[in-house]
Amino acid sequence: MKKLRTEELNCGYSSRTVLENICLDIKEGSILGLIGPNGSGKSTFLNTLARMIKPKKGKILLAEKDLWKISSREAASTMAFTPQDTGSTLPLTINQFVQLGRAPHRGWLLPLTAEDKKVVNDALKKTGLEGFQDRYITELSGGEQQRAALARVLAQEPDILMLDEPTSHLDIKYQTEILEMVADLAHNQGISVVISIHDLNTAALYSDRLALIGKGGIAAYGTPEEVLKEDILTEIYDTPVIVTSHPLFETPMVMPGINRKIKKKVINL
Amino acid sequence: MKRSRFVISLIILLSIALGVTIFSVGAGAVYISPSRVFQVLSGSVSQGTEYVIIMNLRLPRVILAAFIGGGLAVAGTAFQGMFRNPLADPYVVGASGGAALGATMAIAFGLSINIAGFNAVPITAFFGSIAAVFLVYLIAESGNSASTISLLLAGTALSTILSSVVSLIMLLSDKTLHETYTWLLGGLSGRSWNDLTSTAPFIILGSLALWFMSRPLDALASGEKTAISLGLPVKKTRALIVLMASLTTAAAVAAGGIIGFVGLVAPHIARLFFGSSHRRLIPASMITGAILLILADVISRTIVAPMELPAGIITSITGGIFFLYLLKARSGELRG
Repeated sequence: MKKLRTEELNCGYSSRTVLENICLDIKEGSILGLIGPNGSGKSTFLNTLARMIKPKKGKILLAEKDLWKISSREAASTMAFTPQDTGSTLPLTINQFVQLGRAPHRGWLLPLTAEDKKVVNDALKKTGLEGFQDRYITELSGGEQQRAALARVLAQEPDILMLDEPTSHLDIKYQTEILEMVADLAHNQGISVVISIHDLNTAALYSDRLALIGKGGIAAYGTPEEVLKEDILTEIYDTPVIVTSHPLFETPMVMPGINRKIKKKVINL
Repeated sequence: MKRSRFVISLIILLSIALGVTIFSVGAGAVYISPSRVFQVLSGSVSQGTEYVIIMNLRLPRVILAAFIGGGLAVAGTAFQGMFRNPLADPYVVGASGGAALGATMAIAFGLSINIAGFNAVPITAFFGSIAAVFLVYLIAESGNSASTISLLLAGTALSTILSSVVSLIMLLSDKTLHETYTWLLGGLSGRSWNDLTSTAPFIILGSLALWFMSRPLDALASGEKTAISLGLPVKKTRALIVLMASLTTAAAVAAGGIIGFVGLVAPHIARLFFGSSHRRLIPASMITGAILLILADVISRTIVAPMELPAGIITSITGGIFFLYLLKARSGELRG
């Protein structure tokens, strides 16, 4: 399994730098959750890590090789990424979409081999899409579309998997379903996962490490217990919060702690 | 769709194309029955008026219509996939504007160059088309946010500018107004084997190249980020698609003028039956485009016979109506 790390990385766009001096080591077979306020740069960082945007400064090292000095195909055969927007107006079937995942291994011209097809079928099986493969992507529900996106990256057989807010539009059932699949990939198959998650509590439940993005860099890094602290979160999110713990798993749980001027009325019936 | 069903559908489509070809070779001022057409085409009749009409006048024209319609359809399919936009057509990156300007100038200024047996109009149309696309590409890719969208915007802007220049030239040289206008509407009146042999190689080359890029097109249609994450060199691929689709379009426009709607509608019809995976869609789209233009051409030369209408008018009217129908019938499925 190849490893990914960053060295004094600055991320941003041509006119401005969004994040500075990021040094992160993505641990093998673990889940790194990216959290942070809206506009803090979670997506920018993830897109830079996934080779969508060039770094402004510093390096991303894949197996100790500069990510921008290896070919795009070499990178894609080790790292897979699901962008936030996976929809298309001109839909492929699930099978055709998942088959795209073989491109980094098979190339863009040669037909897929029996082995490729087996990998694709395994990916469909793992994501519970077996039997659906001839349906069009656009006919699927949000949860099923995310499963198809996951199947596509699984077909890529990556060592490192990056997911940009895969649970953002999903209800609690599908959120859990997707994240359980991701946890299985990391903990049972040794894939290193970097995932941006909006919801702090799901992030705490599923991440082995959290990186809190804020104030132009990494504001805090560590286990969920180390990062999800009232003082840190209150400062970075600029709103008072209360941290308790999950009744079953004892992971931190974050909830708003607004100083209500008007208390919610207690109605006695 | 299962492979066997795909093969059967393709065979049905090819049979329709063959039937339409035989019918349209027979139709015209002099009607020739399908059995007679078949005899001539199979070589058992090799002289007489009918032989001359078929072999010298109608067959080259019908085959040329098939190539032009097919080429435009393939270019349209590629652009729709690459731009992820169901409204893209072969002219979306400026190919028609450049061709129109080239042809208009050649007609208005009475240009009389002759290269390898070709007149000024197809030559200037071809190079005008290539030049316009090249310009659009340079403008779009020079910006900081070199993306698919900027290509679309630059194409639209340049097309508008070029068509204004065309209007200006037409206005200033009213003697050639009719000739220019007829060319702009697109049609196949009086085309011969010569036009076919000069056009077909470009269309075959461009279409084959685009067909080989089926999987990159699938990836681009699934989103630019997805394509990058799959290791596709997006910028190079995009350049190659633009080049090949424009080569195909330029050859089609040089031979037939600006024929509208075939390149927009044919991919949509093909997609209904063959899905969006380009490996299957491109051949299906090509045959569909061929059928549509053969039919439009036969209508254009029979509906007011012995006069001829520009085939582009037929494709635009029928294509436009059909497109509206598709839009209405499938409004639930065509999600923006």
